[in-house]
Amino acid sequence: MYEHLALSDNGFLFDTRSGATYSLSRTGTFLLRELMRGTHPSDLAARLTDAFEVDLPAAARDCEQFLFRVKDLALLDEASDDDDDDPGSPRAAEPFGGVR
Amino acid sequence: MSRQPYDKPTILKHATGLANKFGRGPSRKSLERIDGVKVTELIERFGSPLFVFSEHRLRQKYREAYRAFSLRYPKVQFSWSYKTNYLDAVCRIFHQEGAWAEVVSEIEYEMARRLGIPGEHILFNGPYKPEPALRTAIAEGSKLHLDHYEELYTVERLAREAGRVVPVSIRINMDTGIHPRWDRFGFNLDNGEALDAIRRLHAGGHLVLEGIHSHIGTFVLDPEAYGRAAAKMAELALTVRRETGMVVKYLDVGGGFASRSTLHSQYAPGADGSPPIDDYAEAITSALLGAGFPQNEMPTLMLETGRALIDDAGFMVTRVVGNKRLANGTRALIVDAGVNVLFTSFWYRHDVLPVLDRGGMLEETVIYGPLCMNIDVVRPSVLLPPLEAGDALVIRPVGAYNLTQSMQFIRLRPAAILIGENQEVDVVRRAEVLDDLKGPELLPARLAP
Ligand SMILES: Cc1ncc(COP(=O)(O)O)c(C=O)c1O
Repeated sequence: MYEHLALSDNGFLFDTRSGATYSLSRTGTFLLRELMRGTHPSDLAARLTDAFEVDLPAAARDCEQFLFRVKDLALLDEASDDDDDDPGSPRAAEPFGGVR
Repeated sequence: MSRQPYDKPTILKHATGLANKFGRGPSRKSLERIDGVKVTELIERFGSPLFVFSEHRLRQKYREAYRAFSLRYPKVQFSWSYKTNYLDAVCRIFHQEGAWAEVVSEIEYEMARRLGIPGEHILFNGPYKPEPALRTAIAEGSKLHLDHYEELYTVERLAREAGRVVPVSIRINMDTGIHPRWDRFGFNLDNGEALDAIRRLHAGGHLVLEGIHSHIGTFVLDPEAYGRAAAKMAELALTVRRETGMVVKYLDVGGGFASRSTLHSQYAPGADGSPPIDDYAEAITSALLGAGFPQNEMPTLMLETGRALIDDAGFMVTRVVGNKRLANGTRALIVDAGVNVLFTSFWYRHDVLPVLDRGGMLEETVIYGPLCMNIDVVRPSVLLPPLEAGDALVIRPVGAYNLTQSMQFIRLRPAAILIGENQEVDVVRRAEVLDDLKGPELLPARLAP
C-alpha cells in the first residue's frame, strides 16, 4: 500500500506513481514512516508522545489533522475508502454577498 | 529513550516538482518584542487585537525627515497630516518635534486647536470646508488652501464682510509624469486654470496669495515626480510675482512619500523598494534652489508628509483564533484583527511575524480576519510556521491610516497603546465598549422592547 512512496530521512518524499514531491517536518516524517511500517492510525499519537516532547491530547489532535492531510493529498490508497461524509459546500456563498 | 523537541507534523506538496527543493530556503523571522517590550505581556495587559505605537520610531522618523530637508534648504516647515493618524498622543509627539498641523475638515481643525495649535500654524486643506469653519479659520488666521472657485468666492465674500484682506493659498494639480494623476483637487496648472484663479483673487482686492499647495498622490515611488512638481510650482510663483507683484511666501509640496510598506503589485519588499527620504529631499530642494528666486524671497518649503513618518512606528498585535485547511489544500489561519482595523491590507502586503517561532515547516498561508465577510483577508499568502490558537502575531507596518480608517463594523475597535522612549507603556485609546457604538442611537418608544 506504500510501495509507491520513497521517503528520505530528512523528510523528502517522492511519489513514484504521480511524480509529485513533498517536504515533511521531522514529526511528519516520523508519522509517515510509522504508517509505512504498518502502525495503525489509532496508535500514531501514542508513538508520537513516546518519541517527542508532546502530551497525548495535543498529539492526538495533530495526528488527526496530519492523517486528514495525507489522505487529502491522495498519498495512500486505502483498502476501503470509507464513505466520506459529505463535507457540504465549504466555499458556500457569503452571508452578506461580500459587499463593500 | 529521551524524547526529542516537538514541532507540528506537516506535509507540504512542492508546487513545481523538484525545482524549489534546491532553491534558497526562506528566511525565518519572528518578533518577540517591540521596542524592548514583550508582545505577550502587552496582550496579557491590554488584550488582543491591539494597536501599538512606538514613540521612539515616531521621533526618529521625524528627525530624519526634517534633517534631510533642512540640510538642503534654508526654510523648511513640516505639518502633521492629521488624517494619517489623529491620535492625540501621536499628534502631540509631532507637534513637540516642531510640526504644525495639516487638517482637511472642521473636526480635524478642532482637534488641532484642542491640542494647543494656534490657527496660524494650521494648514486647512480639503474640497469641503463649511462656511462656519471658513469663518473660524479666517478669524484665527489659519492657512486656507482653496480647492475650487466656489470656495474662492465664498472666502472673498467673507473677507469683504469682515472688511479685511485675507491671505490665502491655492491648491494646484498638474502632470508630474506619474499615474494616477490626482486632478480632482485644486486648480489645474497645465491648462492655465491655476494662474487664472490667482489673477481672479488678486483682482478682487480682498484676497492675497500667500502660498501654493499641491499633493500629487500617495505612496509615490518616484522622487523625480516631486522635483518636477516643485519646479512647476516655483515657476508659477515667479510668474505671479512678475504679473501681480504678490510674493508667494511658501510652496507646500504635500505628502505622499512612500513608506517601507509594500504594495501588492510590487515585487521587491518596500523596505528595499521605497526610496529613502533623502532622495525626495534632494529632488525637491534642488528644483527650488535652481528656480531663480531672489535671495530675499526664497519661499518656505512646506511638507505634509504622513505615511512616511508614521507607518513604521505602528504595529498590530493579533492572535490566532483557528487553523483551517481549505478545500483546495491551502493552509488558512483566522486571526482576531481583520480589515475592520487593517484597512490598508487591501493595498499593502504587510509583514506578518509570529511572536514565537516554535519551529516546524514554513508553509504558504492565507490569513483571514474575524469578520463574517469574504473580503476579510489580511494577507492572501504569507510563509508562516505552524501556529496554535492563542499564538500571537505582529503585523507591520500599519501606523498610517489604519487607525483613522478603522471601523465599527461587526466588531468594536481595539485599544491603542504607546511605548515611550523608556519603555513606558500607556493606553492612548481605550478599547471600545458597546455604548461607544450604540450611544448615539435613539429608539422610538413604540419600538421599545
Ligand atoms: C492634502 C494632503 N496632504 C498630505 C497627505 C498625507 O499623505 P501621505 O500620507 O501619503 O504622506 C494627504 C493624504 O492623502 C493629503 O490629502
